[in-house]
Amino acid sequence: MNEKELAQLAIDTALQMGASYADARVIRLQRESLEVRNGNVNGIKQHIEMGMGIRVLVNGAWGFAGNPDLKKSKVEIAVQRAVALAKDSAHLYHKPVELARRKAIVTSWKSPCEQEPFAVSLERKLEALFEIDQILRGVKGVALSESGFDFWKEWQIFVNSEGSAIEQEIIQTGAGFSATAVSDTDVQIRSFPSSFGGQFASAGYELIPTLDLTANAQRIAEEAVQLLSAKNCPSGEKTLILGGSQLALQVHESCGHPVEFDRVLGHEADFAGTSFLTQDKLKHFQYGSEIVNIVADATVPGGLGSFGYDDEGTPAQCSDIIRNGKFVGYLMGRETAESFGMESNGAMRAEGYNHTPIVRMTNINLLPGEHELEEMIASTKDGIWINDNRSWSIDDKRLNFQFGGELGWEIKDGKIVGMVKNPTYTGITPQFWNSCDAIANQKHYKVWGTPNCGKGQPMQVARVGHGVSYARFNNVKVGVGYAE
Amino acid sequence: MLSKKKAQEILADAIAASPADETEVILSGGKTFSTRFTNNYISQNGAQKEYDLTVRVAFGQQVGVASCNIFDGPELKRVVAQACEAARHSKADQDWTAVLDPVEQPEIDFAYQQGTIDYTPHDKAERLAPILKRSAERELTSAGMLVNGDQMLSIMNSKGLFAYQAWTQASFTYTAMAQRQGSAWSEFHTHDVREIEVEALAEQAMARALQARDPIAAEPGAYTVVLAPTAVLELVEFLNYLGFGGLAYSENRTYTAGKLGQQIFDPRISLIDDPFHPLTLGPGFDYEGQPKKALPLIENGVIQHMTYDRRLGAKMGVRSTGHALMPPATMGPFPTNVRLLGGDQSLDELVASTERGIYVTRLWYSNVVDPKQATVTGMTRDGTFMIEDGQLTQPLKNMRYNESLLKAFAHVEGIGNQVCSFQGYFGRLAVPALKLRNFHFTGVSAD
Ligand SMILES: [Zn+2]
Repeated sequence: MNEKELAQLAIDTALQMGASYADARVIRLQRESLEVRNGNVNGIKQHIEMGMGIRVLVNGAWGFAGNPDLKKSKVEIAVQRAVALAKDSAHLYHKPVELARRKAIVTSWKSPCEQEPFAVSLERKLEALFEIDQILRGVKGVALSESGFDFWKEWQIFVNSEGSAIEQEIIQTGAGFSATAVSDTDVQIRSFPSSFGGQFASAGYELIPTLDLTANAQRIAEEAVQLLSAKNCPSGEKTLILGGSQLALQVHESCGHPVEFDRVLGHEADFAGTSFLTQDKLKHFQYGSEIVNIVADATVPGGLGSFGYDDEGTPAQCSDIIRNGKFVGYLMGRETAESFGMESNGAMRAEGYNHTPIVRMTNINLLPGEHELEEMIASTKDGIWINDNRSWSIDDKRLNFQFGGELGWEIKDGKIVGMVKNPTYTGITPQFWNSCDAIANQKHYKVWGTPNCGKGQPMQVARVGHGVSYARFNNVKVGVGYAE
Repeated sequence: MLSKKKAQEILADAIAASPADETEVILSGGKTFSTRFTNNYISQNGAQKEYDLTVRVAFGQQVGVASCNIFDGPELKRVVAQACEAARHSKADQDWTAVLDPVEQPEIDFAYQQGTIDYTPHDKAERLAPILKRSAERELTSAGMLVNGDQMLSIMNSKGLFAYQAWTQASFTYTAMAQRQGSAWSEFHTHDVREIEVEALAEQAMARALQARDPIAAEPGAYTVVLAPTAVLELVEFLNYLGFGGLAYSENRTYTAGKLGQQIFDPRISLIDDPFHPLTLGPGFDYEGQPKKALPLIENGVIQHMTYDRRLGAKMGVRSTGHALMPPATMGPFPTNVRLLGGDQSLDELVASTERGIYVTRLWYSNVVDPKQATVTGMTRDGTFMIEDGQLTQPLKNMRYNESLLKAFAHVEGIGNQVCSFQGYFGRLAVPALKLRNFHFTGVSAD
C-alpha cells in the first residue's frame, strides 16, 4: 500500500469504529544541518523521519495517535488507540465538538524551490561555511565564530473522512553566522542576517547567495569586538526604532501569540498561557495606532509559515488581524472558529506526524507604511535603533515584555552618534503599539523566518514567518535590566 | 518498550553495517500518553510512539552523523550509509577523539515502574473526573495535563561498548483559574505514577486560585522574596545553563569561568548532578557511553566541578565527566540531572519568618539578559502575593524581575526542606523553596 492508501485505510477503519470525523497525515521529513565553528566542522547531521498521525472525533471528543510504523497492521492498531482515547475523553465531555461538513478538496501543492538543497554537495556547502568562518576569525578579538546551514524537506499527504486528499511538499532553507567577543566580564555577540541561526525561508539553496553572507562577515565580526568597549545603553524613556528580526520577534510575541484563538479560549492556560485579547475586544479594541496593519498571510511566496493547506485541509489565506490599529481577527481552526459561528482561517498546524494540529501562526506580517528609514532616523530627537535580538521575555497574557538586542545605535537630533551595547527595552503591548508613529515603506520590507516557535502540550515546534520593515515607537523605557 | 536484548540486536546490526573506522550508535525513545484538559473537560487525548536511531561514524577524523525514526533492515543500512556519506565528504574535525573502550555500565533497577506504563487513559479520565466536576461546581476553570510513558537509551560502539537503561515517566501539571484574575498552579513529576496525588495537588491549587482573585499592582523595587520550588526551578535552570556547560566555560563565556574552587554563593548553596537520585533520575551514562557519577557542581557556595565530554575533555586535557549530549552535540557537554540541596525550613516557616516581602508561585518565560553577570529576566505567574507579618495577604499582579543569579544565590535567607522534582530543558532537576533578600522587580503586568 502507498501512503495515500494507508491514510485512507486509517480513515475507513476509524469510521467503522464509530468516528464521526477522522483525518490522517502521512509525513516524510528530511533534514540536514551543518555547523562550522572556529575553523572546524562542529557537526554534520542528516535526519529522516516518517510516520502517520491520525485524529478522530468520536462521541464529540478527540483522540489522537502518532505512529512511525507504516505497516498495515500497525496503522489499524494506531486507529484503535485513537478511537479508544476519544471515547475516554468523551466520558467527561460536556460540550460535544461538531464540525460543519465541508466539500472535499483533492489537490497537491509545492513550495517554490529552484535548487533542491539536498542535491547540492556537502563539499560545496562546507566550502561556503569555511569561507565565512575564515573572514570572521580574521578579525582580531573574535573568540568564537559560528556559521551554519539548515535544510528541510517535508512531504505530506492529508486525507480526511470528508473525501479530501491533499499532497504537499515544502522545502525550506536556513543560513546564518555569528561572531562572539569575550572579555573577563563581558560576552558580546553579533549575528547575520539575524540571531539564533540566521534567516529561514521556504526556498531552496538559491536563498543562500541572496543573503550576502560573506559580504557582511567582516563588518559583523568587527561590531562584535567593538561592542566589548562600547558604552552601555542609557536608561530612560526614549524613541525606539526597530527593524529586522527584532521587529519580527516583537510582532511574533506581542501580536502573533495573543491572537491565537485557542489561547483566548484557555486551551493553553496550563502551558503557553492565555491572552489579553479576550473576545469582548474583537472589532472594538484599539491594539495600536492607526498606521498599524497586521495580517496573517499563509500565501506569501517564500514565507517560512507559508503552505497550500493547513493540517485540517483549509486553504492557505490572508486575513486581517489588526486593521488601522483596531483588533479585527484571530488565528483559528475549524473547532475553535465554528464554536463561535466563525470560519477557520487556516491556522491549524502540527509538528510532524506525531502531534495533533493546534492553532498556529502562519506569516504574521506588519504591513509596510509610507516612510523612508533615513527620514525616520532624521526626525528622531533622542532614540535607540535595534535590529537583532539577543533576549526575549513576555508574560503569559502577552502584555509585559522585555527584549534585548545585540547592538543598539544611539540617535541624537536626527543623527546616529554611536554604538551602545546591551540595549534592552520594556513595555506593555497595546501602549507600545499605540505609540507607533512611523513604519518604513515597501522598499525595506522583508519576511523573516522564525523556526523555533514552541507551544502545546506535549510541546510542538512550529516554523512561522513575519514580514516587517522598520517601525518607530515613542516614550519607550530603554536600558532596563542593567540598572542597580 | 524496546528491550535490552532487542536494542542490542539493532545496535549490533548497525555497527556491522558500518565500514567506518569508528562507529557509535544510539537508540532512544519510547511511548507517551498525554491526557490534556481545558475548561473542565478533556480537550486532547494523545498517544505518541517515537524512537530515534542516531549513528555517528568517523573515517580518520572526518565525522558524520545521521538519524532516523525507523530502522528495519533497509532503513538501518540507509542511515548508516548516510552517516558515512556525510563523514566522507566532511573535513577533519581537529578535536575528534576515539570512541570509548568497553566499560562496566551502571543500571538503575528501580527506574522502570511497570505500573506507570500500565496506567491507562481510562484510569486517567477516572482520576480527573472528580476534580473537573468540583472545579466546575466552584465556578473555577481547570486546565492541565496528566502524562505517563516510558523512555529508553541504549548505546553501542565499534569497540564493543554497550549500555542500556529504560525508565518510566509520569507528570501532572495543573492550573486552576478563578474569576477576577485568580490563578494558581501545581505540578508533580516522577517515574512512579502512584506517587502523584492528583486530587490533593488540584485541591491545593483551587483554594489558592480563589485566594489570588483581585490582584493589585505592587510598586517595583527590591523585596525579600519567598520562592516556591515551582519558581526556584527557573532560576536553577539558568544557574546550571549559564555556569556549567564545559564548552562555554572553556571559552570564558560562563559566570563560573576562572572561579573554580572559589566561594561565590551563600555557603548553604549546594548543587549536585546525580542521575541515580530518584528526584533527578536518568540514565547512568551519557551519549558516548561514559558512566556517570554524582558530580558536585557547587558545594557550600564553592564552584567545584565543570562538565566534559570526550571531545572537549581531550582538548582541555581532562577526563570526560559523562556529560556528552546527543551527537553532534554542538553546544558541548551539560549537566542533565541537577539537584539543589534542601535546607531545614518548611515553606510555611519561610513565609512565617518574613515581615514584609513577596511570595512567588512561579517564574515564567525567563531569559538571559547578560551571560557573564548571570542576569536573568522573567515574569511571575499563577499566584503572586504580598507577605505581611508572616502571612500571605494581598494578591499581586504579575511582576517582572531582573536579577543577577550571582547576587540572588548569595542573598539567601532560608532554604526549604522539601525538594521537588521537575522536568527541565536539559533533563530532570530538583529544587527546594528559597527565601532571598534584595530581589529586584522592575515592572508590573497590566492585567
Ligand atoms: Zn512563539
